[in-house]
Amino acid sequence: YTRPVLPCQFSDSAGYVGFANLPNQVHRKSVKKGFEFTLMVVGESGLGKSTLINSLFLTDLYPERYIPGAAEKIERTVQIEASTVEIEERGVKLRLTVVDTPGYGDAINSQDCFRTIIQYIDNQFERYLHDESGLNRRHIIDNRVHCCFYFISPFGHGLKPLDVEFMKALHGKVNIVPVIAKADTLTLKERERLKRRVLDEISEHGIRIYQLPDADSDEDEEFKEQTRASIPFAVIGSNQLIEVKGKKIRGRLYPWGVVEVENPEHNDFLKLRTMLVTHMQDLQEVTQDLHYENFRSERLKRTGK
Amino acid sequence: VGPVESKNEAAMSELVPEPRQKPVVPMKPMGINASLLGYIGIDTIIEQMRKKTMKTGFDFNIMVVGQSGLGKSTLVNTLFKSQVSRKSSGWNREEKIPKTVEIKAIGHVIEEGGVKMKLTVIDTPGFGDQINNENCWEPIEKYINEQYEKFLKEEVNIARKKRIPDTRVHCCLYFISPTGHSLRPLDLEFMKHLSKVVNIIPVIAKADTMTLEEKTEFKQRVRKELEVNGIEFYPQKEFDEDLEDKTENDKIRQESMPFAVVGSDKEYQVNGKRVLGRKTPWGIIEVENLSHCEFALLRDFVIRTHLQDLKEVTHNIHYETYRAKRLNDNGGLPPMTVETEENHESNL
Repeated sequence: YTRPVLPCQFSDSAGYVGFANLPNQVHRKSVKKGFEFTLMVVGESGLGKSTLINSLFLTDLYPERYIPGAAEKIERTVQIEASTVEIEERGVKLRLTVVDTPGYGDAINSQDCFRTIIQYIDNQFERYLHDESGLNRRHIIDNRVHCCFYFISPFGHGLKPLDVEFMKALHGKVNIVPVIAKADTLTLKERERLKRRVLDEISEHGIRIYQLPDADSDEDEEFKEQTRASIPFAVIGSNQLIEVKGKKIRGRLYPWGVVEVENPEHNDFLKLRTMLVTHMQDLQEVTQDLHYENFRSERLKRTGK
Repeated sequence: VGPVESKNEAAMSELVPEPRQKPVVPMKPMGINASLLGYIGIDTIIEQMRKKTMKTGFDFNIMVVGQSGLGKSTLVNTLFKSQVSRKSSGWNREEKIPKTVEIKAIGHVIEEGGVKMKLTVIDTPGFGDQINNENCWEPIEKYINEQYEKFLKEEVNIARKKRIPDTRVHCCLYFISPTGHSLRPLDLEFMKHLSKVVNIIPVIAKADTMTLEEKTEFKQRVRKELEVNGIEFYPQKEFDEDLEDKTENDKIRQESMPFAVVGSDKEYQVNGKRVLGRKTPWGIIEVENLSHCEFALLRDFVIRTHLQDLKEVTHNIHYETYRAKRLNDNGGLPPMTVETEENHESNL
């Protein structure tokens, strides 16, 4: 279209057409339909993944947890467990699926432990591709993994070899958000040092983690920068309510004090949660436009003539 | 629920536009306090979608069909308050009626309240103007299907565009001549064929030639005829999503449609206000006055409340029907990449 943008040709009071109402129409339809989001959590046993997920969404996704002993873990391979919960807030319905990967990194030889995970992600892409190419497309369910929280142990000196291998294998298939777990085992200085090490190693190995998009004109640029600077988020989770100064808060009670989950001075939990919920739409978009399209073109090139 | 106006309120015409509210944007996280214990922030996804809609803008393609002289171009200009029709781009009053139906698509980008719309008006000069009008709807049906085909080709490509350009016709305004008697055979034939491939909104043109009683009677008769002939115009009964939609759409289908409209791009002073209208010796016909004609109802319906739905029905129903037919055809889907034109086997 070579025509320039036309100003409204008639006087101002009569100049209003009304299509500026379109976002409201989209809003209404979206609220009616509700949203779907799939979050995968990957990390060694005991890094607080389940507790963190429960804290993030104020749910109890793992009510009756059975924690296997070491002997049992020897024989185990990586499992994929998906739990779905429906959360409603201010009229907005979200169908959240959390895909857990128990067994990851547990075996003595963890050589192939992420093959199962890659297969799962690919299977969701495959299913979507199949549905998308089918005859009846009215009710396609999107089970593709939109975001993967990768839990890094706070006990090491940076990334472990398994961490590097996993991220290198998965960064072209899913949005990876690295998270430093159980951050309350580190002092603030140790935390900063670890974050820097992790970031250095990520760039050294050419790993592509999820990038926050640039702030819009009406978004807080400074806040976005602060969020970016905190990656990888060092977090603490808790299912326990502790009374602090007359208020009930989520935290961990130590003899030397209380660690508050939602206190930004104690850890990045709030930053992680805010980042996740304010970028759900973008995470889905990047999954669709980048990861899925890559999978699709590779698949079609392979089977095509 | 926030800034969403109910559809019923939006159906009332306004001579004064509503104040444009800036959408509520969560910019900083709220400070830590006890109330935060219960709030996650899931509802912000609505804001994210709204921002996305505003940023990317949207396409809207509207087709107008009807005999020459029924005021199609003027009406479209009135609808979008801009000179967007074919007649505005170097129209020559001496222009001859074409010998066959031509399809002329003209695009404009218009902006309002931060929302950018790429509007394409598809005019069909020559329709119904010949002595022998047999099958004159065929070029139109062909054009509509060509846009579906274009979209389909993009969709099955190996390397797809992020946003496939949408040239599909979202809405077809069919202009009925205000004879006061009944529909013409051509009207029935056109709508019978095309209501299966595109959203048709019938409008009674130049409604200022009828009195209120004549208008009501004519509308009733037209509605009856459409029903008897099994013509499903937009909003189609079978696509009502829920009870809320059905109640609202029933009212529109059974009482308001077809909208009896008057168009104008001239302004006159009435009671101290500038209004769009037609000046006659016996009075000024105000286009946006609901007691004069139903233009405002049409405008609110197409633009303010059902714009998104028109696009969705086109994409989810009409396009999917076309696609399913193509999948089942002997030829199968078009080849993946443009280079292999000769290879017509379906790869899916």
